[in-house]
Amino acid sequence: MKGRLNLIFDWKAMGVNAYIPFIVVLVLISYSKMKQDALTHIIPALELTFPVFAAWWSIFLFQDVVEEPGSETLFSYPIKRWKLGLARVGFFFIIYIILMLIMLFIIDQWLVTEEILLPLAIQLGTQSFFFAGVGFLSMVLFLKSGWALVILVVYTSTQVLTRGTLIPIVNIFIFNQGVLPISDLWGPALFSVLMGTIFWALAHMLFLKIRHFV
Amino acid sequence: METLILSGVSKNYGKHIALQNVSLEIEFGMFGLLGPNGAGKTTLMRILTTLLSASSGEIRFGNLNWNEPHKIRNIIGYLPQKFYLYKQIKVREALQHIAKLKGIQSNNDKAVDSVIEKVNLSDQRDKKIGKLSGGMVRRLGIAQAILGDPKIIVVDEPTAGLDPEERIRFRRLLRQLGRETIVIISTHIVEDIEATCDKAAILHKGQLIKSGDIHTLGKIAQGKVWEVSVSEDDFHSMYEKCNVISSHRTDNIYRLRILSEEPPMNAGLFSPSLVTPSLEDAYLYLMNKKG
Ligand SMILES: Nc1ncnc2c1ncn2[C@@H]1O[C@H](COP(=O)(O)OP(=O)(O)O)[C@@H](O)[C@H]1O
Ligand SMILES: [Mg+2]
Repeated sequence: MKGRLNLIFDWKAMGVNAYIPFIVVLVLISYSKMKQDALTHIIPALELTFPVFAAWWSIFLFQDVVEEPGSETLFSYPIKRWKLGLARVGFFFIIYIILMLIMLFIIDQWLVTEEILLPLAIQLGTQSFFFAGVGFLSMVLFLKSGWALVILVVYTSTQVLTRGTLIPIVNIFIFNQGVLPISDLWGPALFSVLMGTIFWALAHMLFLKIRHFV
Repeated sequence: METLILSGVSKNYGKHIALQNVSLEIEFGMFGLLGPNGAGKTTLMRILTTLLSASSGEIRFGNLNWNEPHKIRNIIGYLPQKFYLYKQIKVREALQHIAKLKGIQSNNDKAVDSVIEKVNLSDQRDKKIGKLSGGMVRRLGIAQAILGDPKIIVVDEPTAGLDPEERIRFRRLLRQLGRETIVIISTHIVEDIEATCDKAAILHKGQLIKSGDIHTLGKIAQGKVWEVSVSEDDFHSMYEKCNVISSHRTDNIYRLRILSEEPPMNAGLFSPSLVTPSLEDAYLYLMNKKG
């Protein structure tokens, strides 16, 4: 027997938590509409909000898998562990990127005059990749969604309040107030992808080795 | 019919030895693993279900070996001590999902409906799991374990947290399963085993103390279990002086069951008599000796 995934089920099993990223996007679109064309407001709002929530699904996908009583049962099934881990996080990350493209498209088309779609897709997309990895890793490390959220809040708030100077080595925020030319984006984008890859890989390896059961 | 064979299974968590050289042969039917808290039962259950690997020793079943865990997962059904997942999801839907995770290819729906019927949850199939009673959640746990017709079913502390009525129901369900496969339960409740198992083993501090037919296990305490009848006055002093396992009152006479190497002091109305020890007597006797 070979176990198979069922991603629609995973979506339902998250309950209300499945919908939070959609609400965030709605709020960001409304905010952009309110601030029509004021990129100095819109871009920081997008940068400090959207990527962080990429961690949301990474965290709540694992509630039933590591946190709930009896979640060890899932590891006794003949489904491969990487499918329960990396594959599901990856799939939901792709959905998140699609969601981002839709959001940026709407803002780009109707709410601002400047061309934002491509540069912001690169910026927010790579930052989201980083945060999806942060969520995955902190869930695998702490096995508690509450703690994973604390990590996320502490990281984001300290980086934002100190403008990235507290722990510069892991800062991925750019703090730009306007659209950056693509040529200026490669550096930060690569850095986010690199850090993100480390987190994703670490989380994946640790997930394969989980031996602690609630 | 294949036999599950454990030879010299040990497990340490760092320096702590949780299982020491456990060897067992488990045949078709219900097998009980009895032991106090911390004995290593859950550790052994997790090794059997491939969640943990043994530090040393070997486990085999027919031509399958536990050093190939991905193969073992196809023949194992597991219900841990607590099982309460997917609270937002309806019973049937959750089981359909689990059937997929287990890789049941053909007749997924039919397999699910048949296990729902088996555990008597047909009326709850469209209820959210979060809305089920404790006993129903436990039965759902069995449903997920038996999906896919595993050859070995492992149930940790089957009746923990159930009320007396649910316990009896759940034991009946387990006994039914034991007619079709190997079912291994672990518990610290002797009654669970007496009510369901043909064979059992007693585990204490990671070591297997005895195993065998539950009737022969009782014999360990042969010649050590006494019954005396006493008046109310003597009842209290007997309780202080002797190792009283249980007492029953009829009118003003108390009948005490006492664990003792020697005949207990004859304070009673009649002289003490030796009785045939039960599994519970044997278990208490062994635990007393081991401290
Ligand atoms: N993950 C773990 N790490 C360290 N020690 C553990 C772990 N799991 C269990 N133990 C210890 O191993 C012993 C056996 O535990 P367990 O198998 O849960 O016993 P039981 O199920 O019989 O109560 C206990 O002393 C327990 O504290
Ligand atoms: Mg236990």
